[in-house]
Amino acid sequence: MNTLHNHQETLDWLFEQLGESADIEYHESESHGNEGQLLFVKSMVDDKKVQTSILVPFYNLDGLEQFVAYLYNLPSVKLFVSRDNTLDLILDGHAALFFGKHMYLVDVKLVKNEQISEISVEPTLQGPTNSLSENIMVNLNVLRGRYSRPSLKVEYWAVGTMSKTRLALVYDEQLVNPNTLMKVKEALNQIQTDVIQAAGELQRLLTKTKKGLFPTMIVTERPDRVVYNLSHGKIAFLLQGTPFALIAPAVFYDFMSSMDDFYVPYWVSRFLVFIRYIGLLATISLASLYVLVTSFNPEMVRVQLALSIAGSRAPVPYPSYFEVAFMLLMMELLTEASLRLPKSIGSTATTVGGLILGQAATQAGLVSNIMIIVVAAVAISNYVVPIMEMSYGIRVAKYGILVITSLFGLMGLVAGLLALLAYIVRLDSFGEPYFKLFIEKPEKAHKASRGKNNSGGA
Amino acid sequence: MAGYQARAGTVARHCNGLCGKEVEGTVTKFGKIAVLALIAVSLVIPSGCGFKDIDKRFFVVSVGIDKPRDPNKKFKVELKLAIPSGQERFGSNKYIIVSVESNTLTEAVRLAKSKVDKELDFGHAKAIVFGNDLFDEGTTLPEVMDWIARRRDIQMISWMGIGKPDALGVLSSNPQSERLPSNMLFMIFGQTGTETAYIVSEYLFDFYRRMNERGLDPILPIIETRDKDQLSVNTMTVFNKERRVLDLQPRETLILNNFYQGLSKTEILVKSGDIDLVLSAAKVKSNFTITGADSDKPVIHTITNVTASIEESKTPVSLDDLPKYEKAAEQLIEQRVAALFKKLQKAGVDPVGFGLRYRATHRVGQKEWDRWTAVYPNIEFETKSECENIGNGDCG
Repeated sequence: MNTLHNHQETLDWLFEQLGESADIEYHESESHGNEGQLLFVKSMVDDKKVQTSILVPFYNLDGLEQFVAYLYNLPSVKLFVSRDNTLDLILDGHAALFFGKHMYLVDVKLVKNEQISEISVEPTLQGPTNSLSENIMVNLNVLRGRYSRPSLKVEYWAVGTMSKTRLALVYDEQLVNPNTLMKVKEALNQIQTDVIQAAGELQRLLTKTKKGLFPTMIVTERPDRVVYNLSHGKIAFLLQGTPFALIAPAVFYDFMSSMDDFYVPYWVSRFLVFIRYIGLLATISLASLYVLVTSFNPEMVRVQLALSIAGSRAPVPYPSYFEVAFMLLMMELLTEASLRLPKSIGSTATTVGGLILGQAATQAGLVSNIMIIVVAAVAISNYVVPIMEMSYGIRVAKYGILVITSLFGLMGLVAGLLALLAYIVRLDSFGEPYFKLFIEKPEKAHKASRGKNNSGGA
Repeated sequence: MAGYQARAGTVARHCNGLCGKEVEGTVTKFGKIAVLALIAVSLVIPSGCGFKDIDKRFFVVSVGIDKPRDPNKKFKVELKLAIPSGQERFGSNKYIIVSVESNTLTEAVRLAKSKVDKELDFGHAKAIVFGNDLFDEGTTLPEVMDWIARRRDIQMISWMGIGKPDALGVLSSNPQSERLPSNMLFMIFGQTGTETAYIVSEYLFDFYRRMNERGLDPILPIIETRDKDQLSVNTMTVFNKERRVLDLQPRETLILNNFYQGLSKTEILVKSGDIDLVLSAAKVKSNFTITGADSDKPVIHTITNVTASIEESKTPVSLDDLPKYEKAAEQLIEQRVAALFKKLQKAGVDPVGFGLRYRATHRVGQKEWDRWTAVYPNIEFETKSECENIGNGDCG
């Protein structure tokens, strides 16, 4: 197979495939009477590596035999398997070496994005401050550095029919639930997409229900969170080109816990968790409660408050649900705008929006004072949820509750919350019940699932 | 995807049930649009009962029922409606009083509605005041209470009271210290503000229970109007099941309230021989037992435990004499309690609940109950008091 004739054909085929792209480099070199050809994609390779691992030895070593021996000992060298494989490797930053009847593929990939940046999405006060990087190798290095058990296993996958994005599946072989691992691999095999670029995208592709509201996998940029979850038998997905890792399976509680919870004294952490659940309840139900109290059951609150709400609503011409919807919409627009705007003008939007919405809207008689407080509380408590994906889901869920409360009052609120609860309970993450609040110790869970398997088999 | 379609199918079927046109089970564009339109329409016109914005409601903060001027009518109903103000502060207690005379309370309220621009809301009617002379002629308690107890939006935690000289006077008093109308009544009875054992706080639910419970008679505090829109509450009245029977003096109110609510902020005047001082009770605990209930002459034993210190004295006080003061106080308390119970017994009322205790500890059929009611006027009271004086009140 490795005949000269064949290789010439392959080379022609490669040229045909790669076409007239400006960043294709082709060299013909000659040293000690040996001729060789070098083909690579210039934008994908590191010139220094080409120099040091291919060109310098080629000219310095005596004769072809020595050079071939050298190449054989180079760990980054691959042999020809097939034409398609060769093409993929070249596009992934390998240099193809042809000389004589030999052909080798040398990994001379140029790695950018190696630097690790500071955590920006999930900050903690006293936890580690560096996030994952966009490079899968660097990330694996970080993970191995933090979790050096021999049972930590890494599997490479390529996802996306066009992008062939590299994905590393990381898990602790001794702790992982084999059932879950099987399900995860099945799901990975079934992914059908052209291009994949973000962890959230991967999550959408991995979940069975394509129209979900709440995340069933954790998207995180914190290496400590990934390691913590690995040590609890979970599976991490590292995707090339994004500093976010994906962790599965996840339960609801995972989204409500911050890494800070492990770094502070016990009662402080209990308090923080408690506060977070209060915030969760507040952000879901406060807007609906406002409609409920102002339009259905004002007797629920103290007479003092009822009268003061009535007083502050005096200039408002529209019904309460309109007022709430208007204010919430403004708040969402403000949030979206400050997210999309460049950082330098982002603060302007917040200031202008905050001032105008807060002050002028009440003075113009569009909304009541109490409504402003409610909206502010809803907005603030929404961001108490540590994982952004969950916080987004909850942000949307509150509108459902609001609509049903505006229609049916107290009954609507109760029914809406129950429906939401039922929806969350119905979810599962790779076979793990989603709303399991109390997580078993990994060994125990492992044993239990093994037991289940056995009994299921018998 | 299959799951989604199935769900969409049920939604569509729902809609079909509503509009009754579509073929069952098919997900049509029309079906989806119909559901969305339905939601949108129902959002714009919330046809469901009960939707009324808070600024379109008039909160009735207190209800007064007086004797009417028109002799052909049975009640005069006064509703005190709070006018909300943007910023509440002391003195921002604006209100309207609507009064209607009518033969039934229902009618009266319907007529009152025709006199105001917003929907009446009884959800915060937290004080119900009867006129002092409402029960003088003919009108009985059940006649008045029936409407109040049936009306579902009047909360059972409303405070009850008798207004003196009339309910309108109490309702229209407008103390400067209030920050919303009738707040003074809520503060007095809720004991959230002032706390004193002179104030008997009677909830609607308790009052209604007392009206129907054998062996426990209804009581109401008497709210008197004072100068400059002020109110005072320090006496009470006792009903038998239907009529007002007996008014109590402030000091009697204090003792009865002690058996009822167990409030401790009490003072005890001690005056016997050369002792002339006032004790401030930090803790007062009263209890009673019934002995010989099945005999012809049952005895009710009461015990009042007081922990007090001297708050005021007209004569020099010696620490060595503390036991002497205690003795004198005990005697006085015993006398006063006995006198009050005799008075209640004579009037044929039982606001403390001796009869209820009897019923609770014995098998009681109609026969036994008749026997108890026959025996009650002749029951003996043995009152006992234990007073512990913890100090002479001096700081040094």
